Order: sequence, then C-alpha cells, then structure tokens
Amino acid sequence: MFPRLPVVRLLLAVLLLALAALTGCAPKKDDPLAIGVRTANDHAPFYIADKLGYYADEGLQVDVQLIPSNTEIVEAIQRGDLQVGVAPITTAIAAIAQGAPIKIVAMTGRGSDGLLVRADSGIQAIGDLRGKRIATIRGSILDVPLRQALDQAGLDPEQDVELVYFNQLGDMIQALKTGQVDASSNTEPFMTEAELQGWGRILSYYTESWPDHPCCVVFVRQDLLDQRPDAVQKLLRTHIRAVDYANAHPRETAEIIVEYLDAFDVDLVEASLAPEKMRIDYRIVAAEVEQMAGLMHAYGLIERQPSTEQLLDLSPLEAAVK
Amino acid sequence: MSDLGKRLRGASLLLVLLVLWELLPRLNLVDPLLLPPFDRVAARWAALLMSGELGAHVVISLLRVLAGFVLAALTAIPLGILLGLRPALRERAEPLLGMLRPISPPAWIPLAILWFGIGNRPAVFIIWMGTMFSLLVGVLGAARSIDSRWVKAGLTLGASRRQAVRLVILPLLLPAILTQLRVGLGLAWMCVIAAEMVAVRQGLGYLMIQARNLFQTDTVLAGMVTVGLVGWALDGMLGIVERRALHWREGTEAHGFFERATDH
Repeated sequence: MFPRLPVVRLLLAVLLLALAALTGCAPKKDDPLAIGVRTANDHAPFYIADKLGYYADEGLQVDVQLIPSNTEIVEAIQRGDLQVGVAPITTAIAAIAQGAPIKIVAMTGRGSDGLLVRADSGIQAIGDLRGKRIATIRGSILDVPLRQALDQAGLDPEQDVELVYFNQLGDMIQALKTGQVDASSNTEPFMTEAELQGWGRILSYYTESWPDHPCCVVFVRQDLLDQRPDAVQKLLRTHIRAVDYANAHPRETAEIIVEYLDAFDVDLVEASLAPEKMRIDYRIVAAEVEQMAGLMHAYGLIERQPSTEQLLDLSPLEAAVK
Repeated sequence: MSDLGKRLRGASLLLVLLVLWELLPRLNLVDPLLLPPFDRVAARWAALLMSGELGAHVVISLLRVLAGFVLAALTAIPLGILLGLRPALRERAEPLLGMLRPISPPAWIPLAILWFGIGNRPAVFIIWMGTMFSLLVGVLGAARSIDSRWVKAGLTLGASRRQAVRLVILPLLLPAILTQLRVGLGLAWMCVIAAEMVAVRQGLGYLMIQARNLFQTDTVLAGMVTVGLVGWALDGMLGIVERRALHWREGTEAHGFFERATDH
C-alpha cells in the first residue's frame, strides 16, 4: 500500500506539527503578557510604560512587541501568541465581527487621521474632491472617517470620488507625491512631515466631521479576561498612568516615540502631537464604538454588526480608574 | 495503471484532505478561526460564484496574467535564443540575469507604482518581471545545448543564417520552448496575488487581500481554491497544446519511461 513508508511517516509528522501550531494555547498564570503594538503616535503609552518601568511597579511581567501591521497583531492574538493588542478601533471591530475572541478594554488615542493633498493642488475643501482619486486603506481607521467626511460634504464615497485602495501608508504618500492620486487619507506624523517637507498640505482632520473620534484601542483575549482579570486591571492602571505622562510631557513623549519608531525626528513628532491634531486618551465610551461599528456596517465593510457586549468590556477600566 | 485508476487515485488523496479540512475545525482540534471548515469555505465560494463577483475577478486576473505572460514570452524567447547562440553576448548578460532573476515579484511593487502609476499597468509589469527572467534563462539554456552539428549541416547544405534559424534552430528548440512556456504561465499566475496587492479594485489578489484585512478567512481560502483551480486548468490547457504541437516527436522519445521505472 505505502511503498515509501518513511516518506509517509515524515509527511504525517509534519502534518501533526502543523496542527499543533493551529490549536493555540490558553494563557498560563505567571507567563509574561505578550502585548503587540505598532509604530504609531498613539501607541506611545505602551512605549512609555515599558521604558519608564511602570509594568514592574505593578508587579506585571510584560513583553511589548513591535508588530509590522494591524492585521498581523490580530492574527497573532487569534493564535494566542499575543494576549493584548493595540490597533485601530476599525481593526478590532472587523476582527470581532468575524468571531475573534477578543474584547476592547480601553482607548489609546483620538484624532490624528485626515486628508493630505499636494501643496500646489487647487483643492481647498472636501467638496472640491468630486471626481478625484483618493488613496485609502479599505475598512481601516483611515477609511471609515474618510467616507463619513465625504458623506457630510455631500459626496457619495462610491459614486462621486474614486477611492483607490492601498495597503501601506508609504505607498500612499508616494502615489500622492507623484500625482497618481489627488488626495490621500493619512495619519500623523506623516501628514505633518509632508507639510514640513513643503510638498504636502493637510486639507482637514477627520475630527472636523467627527469631533474627538476614536483611533486606536487596547483589546485583550477573552480567556485573559476570564482567567487573569487582575492582570488586565494592572495593565490598564499602567496604561492610565502612561497616558497621563504623555499628556503632561509632550517633549519627552516625542523622544520616546522616536526611539521606538527609529524614524522621524523629535521636533516633527512633537509637532504632530499638538492637541488640534490628536489626543492621547484612555477613556472609551460604548456609544462611540457602536457608532464606528454602525458606520462600518453601513459602508458594507463588515457583514454583521457585533453587539456592544461582543465589542467591549469596560469593567476592568472602571476598576482601574478607581 | 489505467487512466481512470490514475484519476481515482488523485481524487482519493484530495478527498481525504477535504474530509480532514472539514472534521478538524468541526471537532475543535483546530481553531475554526484559524482554519474555517471546508463547508463554510465552499458556501462562501458558491455565494461569490453565484453573485458573479468571482467570475469577474477571475476574468480580470486572467487578462492581466495573459498580458504579462505574452510580454514575457515576446521578450524572453528571442532574447534567450540570441544569448544562447552568441557566447560573447551571453557572457556579458549572465551576471545581470543572475541578479535580476531572484528578485521576487512583490519586491517590484514600489518601482511598479513609481514607474507605471496605479491600475492595470503596474500589475502587468509585476507579472512580466516575475515571469520573464525564468523564461529567459530556460530558453537560453535550451538554445545553448543545441547540437551545433545540425546547424552546421544546414549551413553546409546551403541554408542562409535566417533559414538556419527558422528551419533548424526553431524546430529543435520548440519542445523546450513549449515546456518553458508552460512553466512560465504557472509562474505568471503565481504572480497575480503580488500584482494585485496595490491600487486595483478587481482581481483575485484584490479579493484575497481585502478579505485578509477584514479577517474574512473563509473568503481568503475561497480565493486560494480559485487560484489553484484556475492555475490547474491553465496548466492542463497548455499541456494539451504541448502534446498536439509535439505530436511528431512521439515514438522518437522514450515517453513514459520514467513512469514504468517507478510505477510499481
């Protein structure tokens, strides 16, 4: 039947190993918490807490890992390689809509996203974008507020403009610079950098169409909430402390961000942290999460809208604030 | 082994894998979030097919792949023959080819956007780059290994250089070129995902990447199944072309030699 038995055995062994990798594993008591963050301004509280030893103060063992993309953070948390993730609220909602066993537990920042155009373009208002090409990342935090801003300016995002879908911020900046798109939905500090370099102009921030809109959130695996609620509470206490530090010390925060991003300079990052551009915050309200999920559903980005209970668990944050 | 028996054997392995694919997530031996069970992927695939969405993605991907593939064939075959027949040129070109060939298709994306903007042109460019160098090296190798006595015999019998290429070299190379084209088409189809990662609104690569960004793993898998099926069909079609075109060779080659030697 099987003339080449060793080969079959080898294949079976490989198959079993692959299966073992797919089964994932539950968090154990004293394991360090693996936290996945990206390089972004409003992830700064996690760099701060790591750098200034806040986790140790709480007796919490953590491993803060820089992950290249939002998608990979969610994929790693689904596998169980991470227990905590920081990513845009849209990413978290999309994952929960697909059944990922995670809950949003806190905010990290608000604002910071908007529309960038070329300095020499005649575009003065969002209404001028009729018929223009706009770079965006479909379903992302750059995309949902963009569609909402277009809607508010009387432009149908699918009919009156041409949305061009990208996957990388860098590619979008390049396409805008070279004239292949007329505008790019983008974020800080890239937008401020484009202005400082002279070729770009910030047309508007989405905070104009949705004041104080949520940006990145902290989410945790459900089994962590179930099995180690104390750890989640400690984590959120350090988060609140780090957010307070960031708001009180913008210069030092910019220095820490630059150290983690390994790009940009301190002046640029400090300029991009200005209150009119973005705000680092931990507070989160159920209504704003529901509003974002509702918009994503309305724009056809998620097939079903998760319930508030599926999206959020605010009890550890409430306990941590006390 | 009869033809039917061979097919049954191929189908049986597939069937075993499909059953495993269905059972492992259903029995929670594998997290269904990481591997949705087969029936969910099949249902998603059927829904995409019935809505016409899948067909539209396949057609646009095929057009891009064919454009890139034809460009690759038109550049690689003449260049490969030329370099194969002219050692002096070949020596100059080889280091460059050796360096360009290992560059994987996604690595061309930034340049593709810079040079060709957004839309179909950068996608075709990426497929062309991802296919041409392998095709070129294959054709070059075949052209190099032509027995020069055949060419000399032709020339001695009064053929011009042009006639020698058309009547001796091309017929000698045809089997190798067809094999290389078949491999090349497979390569071109493999490039389609990379080619459609950027700034397009249609195509199988677009479908899969957008689905990944929104964690719709069943759609990602439905896309992969489609890529596999279409690639398989393309290869089968070129296989038929190859057999038809090389009909005259049958009997002169030890067809099936390997199969007999290894097939117990």
